[in-house]
Amino acid sequence: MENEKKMITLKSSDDVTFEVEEAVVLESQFLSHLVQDCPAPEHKIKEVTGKILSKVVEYCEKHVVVVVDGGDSSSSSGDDLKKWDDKFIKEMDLSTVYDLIAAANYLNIQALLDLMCQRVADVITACKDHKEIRETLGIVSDYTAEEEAEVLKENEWAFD
Amino acid sequence: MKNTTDSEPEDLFKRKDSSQWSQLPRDLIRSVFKRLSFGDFERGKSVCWSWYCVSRECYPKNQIPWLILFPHENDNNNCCCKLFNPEEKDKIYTTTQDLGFEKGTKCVATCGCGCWLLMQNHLSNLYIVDLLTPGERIILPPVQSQLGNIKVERIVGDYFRLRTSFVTHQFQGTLTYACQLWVDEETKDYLVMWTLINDCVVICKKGDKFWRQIPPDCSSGFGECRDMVYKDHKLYYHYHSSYSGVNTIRVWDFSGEIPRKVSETIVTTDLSSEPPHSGGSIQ
Repeated sequence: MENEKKMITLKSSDDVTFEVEEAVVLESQFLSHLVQDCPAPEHKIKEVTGKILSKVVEYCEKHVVVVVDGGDSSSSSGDDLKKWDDKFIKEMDLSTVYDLIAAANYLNIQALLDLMCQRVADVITACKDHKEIRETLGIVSDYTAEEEAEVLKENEWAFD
Repeated sequence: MKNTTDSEPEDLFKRKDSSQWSQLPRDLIRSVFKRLSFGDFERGKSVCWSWYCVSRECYPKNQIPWLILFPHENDNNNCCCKLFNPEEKDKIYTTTQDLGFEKGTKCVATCGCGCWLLMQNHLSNLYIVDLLTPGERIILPPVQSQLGNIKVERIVGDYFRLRTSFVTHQFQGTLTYACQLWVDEETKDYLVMWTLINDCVVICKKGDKFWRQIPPDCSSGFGECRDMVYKDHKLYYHYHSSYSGVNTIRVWDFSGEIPRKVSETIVTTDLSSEPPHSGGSIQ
């Protein structure tokens, strides 16, 4: 017997709409509260663009499906999900990673936030020194020359 | 170096002109930093000011405890520690900072969360150092500065006189037993405790000028603390009465302003084979 699935429409800041099942929305704590408090069929999320919201929806849909189906073959579907996560973040450029972190933080989706923070950590790990980290992430150092020398001196023993 | 957004709100951790990655909310930068290994963590904090600030509030991912080798007691020229991380098999780190390892100084407790060490010098005085941050040293009140019924007097050097309501006794050597150290990663609040004599525990929190005796009216009891463990704001304390031979586990709650005794349980299993202050822990 199949229950009728409740559908909810999410609208991005640039008016792109996504029709998703309620279970998908419940992956986000922020949206769960929103849906509970305000039972309108459509919700506008002013802080997130269509491009980023599509990634959020893609992630949540994937994770909902696996959790629901995971009853009989949980370990293999766990592995599949991890592979899917890896592919999901590897294909993403850093500017999207940044926007997705901000969106996951705003929408309060802890698992997605953890995944994105791990991606940033992996990017940092792949760099050989602090200069390469700056180049990769496009960070302009705001240290004065003296401050930078001091910070480098503080941890020089770690890099002999 | 001015080239990006000028309209950002001023804030201590947001200097002007850095890119969006250095302006991530602090809890998110912290979440990234906590996933870095030790070396990457050190590299990360050299990137920019806001990242550096965040690095002071958290610690790198560290699943395996490191091994620390302290300088040899008789080696006056060498005050560096050697550190070995089992995850980096070919590397031994040598700290460059002076940790003040004068002769007779030893580490009496560590705090699991980071690299905080509770050190004791040959005069029984205590201080806290952060092994990874030079200059991070907290001097604790002298051991004879006590608030409570038991009076401690330093006669000279490591000769002490202890006076309770019943007795006075003098001795030479270490005053502090079963030392415990707890440091909060983010706020750097700390709590240090050790047992003085009998059933008396003394504690010192951040900002204290004295060691406070707990319970404040302690002066009785013919027995001793065999061991204690501090975990999740609770002190578990194994007291052995030499009068009755009874072992009790006392639990004190430190989460409030004033420490509060929450339970006292008589232990019927035989704990007496455990020698006092052996370094064994209550599980």
